[in-house]
Amino acid sequence: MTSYSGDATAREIAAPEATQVQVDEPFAKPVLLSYPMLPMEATMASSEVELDAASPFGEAVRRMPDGRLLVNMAKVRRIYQLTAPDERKEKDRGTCGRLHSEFVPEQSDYEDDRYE
Amino acid sequence: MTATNSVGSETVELPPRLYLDTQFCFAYIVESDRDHEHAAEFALVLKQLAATKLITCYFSVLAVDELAWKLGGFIYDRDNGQASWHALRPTEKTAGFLSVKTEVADCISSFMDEPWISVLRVSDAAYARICTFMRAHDLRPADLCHLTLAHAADAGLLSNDGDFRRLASSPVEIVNY
Repeated sequence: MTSYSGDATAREIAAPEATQVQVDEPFAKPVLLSYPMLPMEATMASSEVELDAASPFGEAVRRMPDGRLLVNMAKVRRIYQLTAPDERKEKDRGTCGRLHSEFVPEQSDYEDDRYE
Repeated sequence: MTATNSVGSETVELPPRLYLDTQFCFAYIVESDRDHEHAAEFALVLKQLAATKLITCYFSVLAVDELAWKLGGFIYDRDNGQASWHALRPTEKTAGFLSVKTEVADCISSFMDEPWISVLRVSDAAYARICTFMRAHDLRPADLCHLTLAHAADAGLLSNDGDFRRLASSPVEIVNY
């Protein structure tokens, strides 16, 4: 296995060599899998970390190393419209809004005396 | 600490913990509120993030109190005409609230039952910090408490309240929606 030190060259990071891993179970005979081993420096250099790509929502959200989240709102909207129509219907029915009145609250409440 | 604003942005950056201010909760619950659409859409995202444990959204007893009065006033006006609530004398407001309390309770309990909402538990140290923040920031007492609670949770404060937006050198991140 290749080890990557802190002074790994750009070429090494850009083109990591393939590493073979031998897997004995659960297969009856040994199977060789091949996949690139990314150097730690390359991983840490990225400011974003991919979430589970298998999840539809994972396409729209990235988690940064400090735990903060980057959310692509346009993708979220598309995901909801494509894969969760019931959720959209619920929203349209007002599941999010518990009070369905057309009556509009006084806007001054926010700034002046919203709480008695 | 900088403010985060999602309105009009394609990509929103969020802290892993959010404290839900009363202003957001009211806008989420009341469909005719001017910020309802934004709040409802934002909540769709928060629900998914919370379901995958990427984010925690905190609700506090202080928000319950404020939300109850705010919803009470709104429902009272709806049933009795615009500005009826403000026309009540202070001594009449309790009776006014009691006349609508069941609907208020239904709204708040439904909101609190949603799985993406977590109740915030507060340490002794957080209470001690309230007066420190009171000296340092020009906010009303309730808003100071919200700020302290968000700080205690190491969370951003989710609100479109102008008082928070205008706050200079906020100790917590103010997240607009």
